[in-house]
Amino acid sequence: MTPEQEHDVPEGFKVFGVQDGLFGLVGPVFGRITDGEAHLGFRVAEKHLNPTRTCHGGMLATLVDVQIGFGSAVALKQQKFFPTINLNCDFLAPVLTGQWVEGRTEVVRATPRMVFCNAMLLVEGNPVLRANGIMKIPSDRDSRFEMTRPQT
Amino acid sequence: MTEDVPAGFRPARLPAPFIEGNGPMFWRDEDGYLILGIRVEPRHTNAGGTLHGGMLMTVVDMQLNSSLNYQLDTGLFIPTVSINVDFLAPAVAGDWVQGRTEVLKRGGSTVFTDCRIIKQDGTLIARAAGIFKLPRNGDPNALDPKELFK
Repeated sequence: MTPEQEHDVPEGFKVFGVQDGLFGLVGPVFGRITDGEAHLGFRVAEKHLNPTRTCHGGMLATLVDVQIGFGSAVALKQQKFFPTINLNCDFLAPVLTGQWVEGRTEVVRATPRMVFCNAMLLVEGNPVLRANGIMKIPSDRDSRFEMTRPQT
Repeated sequence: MTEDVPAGFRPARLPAPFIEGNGPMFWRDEDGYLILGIRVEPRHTNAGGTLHGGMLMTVVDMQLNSSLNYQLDTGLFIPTVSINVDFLAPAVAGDWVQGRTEVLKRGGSTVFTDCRIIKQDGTLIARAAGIFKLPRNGDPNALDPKELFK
């Protein structure tokens, strides 16, 4: 897949995340915020594959880890990183090279210091990964989790 | 690529383009268990400078999955059905992280596992449970386990 094809994304998606860490390595990953909801996505390329030539579970888990954290932060209108406490991923269906994978988050409950959410990764509207996550909401005094650099 | 690994670890031959890109991972035997490890590098981190949760999920997935190949002595490709990971402590660039897997139950087509991932000082950074599906014998994707870990 050429870089042009990797950047062939639905309207409104922009490159997401800091590029000097994991998303620079496994990305590009794209993000879009519509109606107060954050959606992350990527197009499966050769570098994402496992030995059976479908998308590696680690890549899908990587996307959904950020989908739950960033998705919950956007839903709760907070400019912070929410560190993951627990992530449970069910791998529902294989994903093939060239397919666009897109996530969505549903916040089930938020307390002052915790968020419980569900997330789904979809390909052409069909679920390929179901996740639920628990994140910690950092205190306002904890500077480690401030979102100091723009994500999209 | 850093080759700065603890004594006894050798590069793991994990034939997945995704792991070739974010590895290398290393392995050694410990009492018949497969210990899979990785040196955390800046490219594995998140915006907060700690090991990215997605990379930790990848390490967990490979630790569980490769242990099945090693400890059940099979070259079958064993797809992940579900993994559940508790994130207990962060790791930073320079840390060595490694895991060990218990196979709890091997059924006819389903395997239940759990694993723990620790840092070089023994700090527990993740606890995970995984469910895997055993393919039928004759799986065209099967490899020789002796080729994977030698």
